[in-house]
Amino acid sequence: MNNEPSRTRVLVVDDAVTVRAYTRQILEADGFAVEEAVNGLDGLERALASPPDLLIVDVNMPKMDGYTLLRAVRREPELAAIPALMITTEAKEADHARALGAGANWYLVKPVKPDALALSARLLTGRPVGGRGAA
Amino acid sequence: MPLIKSTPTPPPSPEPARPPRLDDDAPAARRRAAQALAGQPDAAPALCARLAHETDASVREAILTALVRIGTADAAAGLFPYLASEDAALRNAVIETVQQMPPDTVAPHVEAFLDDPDSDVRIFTVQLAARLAHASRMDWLARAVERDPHVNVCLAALEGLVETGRPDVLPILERLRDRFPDDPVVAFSVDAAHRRFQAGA
Amino acid sequence: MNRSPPDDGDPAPLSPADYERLCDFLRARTGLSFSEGKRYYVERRLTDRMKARGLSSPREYLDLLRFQASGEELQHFVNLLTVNETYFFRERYQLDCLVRSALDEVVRDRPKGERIRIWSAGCSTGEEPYSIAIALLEYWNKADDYEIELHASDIDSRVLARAREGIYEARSLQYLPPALVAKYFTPAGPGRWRIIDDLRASIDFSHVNLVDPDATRAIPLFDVIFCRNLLIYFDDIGRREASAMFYEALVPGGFVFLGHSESMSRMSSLFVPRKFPDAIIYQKPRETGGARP
Repeated sequence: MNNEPSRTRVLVVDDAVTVRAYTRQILEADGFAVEEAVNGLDGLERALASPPDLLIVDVNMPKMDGYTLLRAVRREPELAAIPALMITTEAKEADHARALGAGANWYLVKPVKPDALALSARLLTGRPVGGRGAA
Repeated sequence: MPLIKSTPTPPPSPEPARPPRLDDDAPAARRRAAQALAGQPDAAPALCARLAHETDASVREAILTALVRIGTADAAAGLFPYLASEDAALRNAVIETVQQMPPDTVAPHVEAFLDDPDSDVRIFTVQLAARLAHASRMDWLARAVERDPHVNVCLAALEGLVETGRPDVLPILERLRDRFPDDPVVAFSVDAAHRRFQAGA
Repeated sequence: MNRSPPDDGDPAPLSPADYERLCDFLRARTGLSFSEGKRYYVERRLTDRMKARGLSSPREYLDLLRFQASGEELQHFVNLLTVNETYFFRERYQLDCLVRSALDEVVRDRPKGERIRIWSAGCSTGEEPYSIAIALLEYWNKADDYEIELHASDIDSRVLARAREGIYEARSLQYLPPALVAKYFTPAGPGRWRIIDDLRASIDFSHVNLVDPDATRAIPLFDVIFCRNLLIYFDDIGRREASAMFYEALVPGGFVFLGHSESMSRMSSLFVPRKFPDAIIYQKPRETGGARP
């Protein structure tokens, strides 16, 4: 029997290749397992097929934007409890309220700093935030 | 057996007494109205105007598909202002739609909206520009990298430049690093672009 | 460059740049990949098609592939390039999803005796609609409670003729349990089998060009549409319009089945993904505004 704990799985939903690669690098370095989706609808399908431990969701994407994705996720019994981090572009109060209202647990403003991203991911998935705790 | 060959069926619903309207109560009727207008360039302003009030996603999709088919300057002109909409779903659907329209029709609006006072609108315009098969594409993206004050607009341009797959974008990306020396996303993306072009070029 | 003039109107040879352009296009549109090693294979078929179409340059042919709205030539070309993968009970898990989940939801509020309509769009030589029919008759426990119309269409009259004829090689039947072969086929010569008359007669085969609005206007409303490995042949706008057409052709709550490597995330935002034990398929919302069923 494999005693190694399995890594916390994150699904990154963003239509920008460079943003997905950047997010992947930061989270993998911090011990997460990362999967990618290229737009909101792709994200919903992948989450349905294999529910992740954390969703990181961009706002502006073709086929299904981030708010619509989160609302759809919150309606699905299998997905409703998954923590979600929304990545917004503007630090406007309205956008933050909207992110939380759509079902995000927290939000970060682009461009996202590596420490903020890793810390938020740990907080939302219940991993210890000090040092390099196991994923 | 339960399988039966159909007899020729009449149309699923009786022909309406009057043609369906874009402001009909029933979404199905509004969809039919939009579909009927796909071949009528004069309908572009009415279709664009309806978008501001349309709450049904399937009708919105029918309106946008009709506008793609119409593909005129009027259609593009009527769509671009929606890049500033508060409705994320509408905004993104409009971006996707404009990307599918004839590039020469869209180009003048790209030029104009690259200078919009709202940084979000400039981001969307840059994203649009990056996907347009137009001779000015590289110029637009390079211009944003050179001049736009907002790092997210520049990052959208960087994404577009990297996607071109052309090694001559590397000097432009270095300009981006010069302008935003402390930004971790910029640093990562420029390094990644270098690696990619060296490996695959 | 020293090239002998073409004789008998033979098309111009394929330059490396043209080959690369063609491969890039095929990969982008259909996901198919061809290496340099396959060049002779591709070039032969390209030459055949160019001759058949009376075109003299690969550039012209590529334009045809790229811009023909119906996607017919692209489909034809790809069919020449790929091993014919169609066989009975292909992507069996989707047929399982149909009879174990989708149809039960379709008839949830539907009185017995009513009509159910299923469309196999892009039916090719008929394996798909016949497979659906057999699965329904054998595995759907409510099949006898309803009247089921099975429609099948394709843009290519030659494959439609073969579908109506219903004769298949043994290889095409290899994934069918022998009991089903015995039940639904009769021998038709060495290594060949024919679908029984009753079944052949109960499927409506028709010629439909999916991008022709006049052709698609008269389509009745369906409960289920199979549209597998068909939309890959269209460009972005074509996919958008075809998806919208399928949406119109479905009853609210109706389902679409795509090919196993296809996804609506590359095609259209109109449908809602629904997860069932056997598959994730797509549904037209029952109410407006994308409310859950």
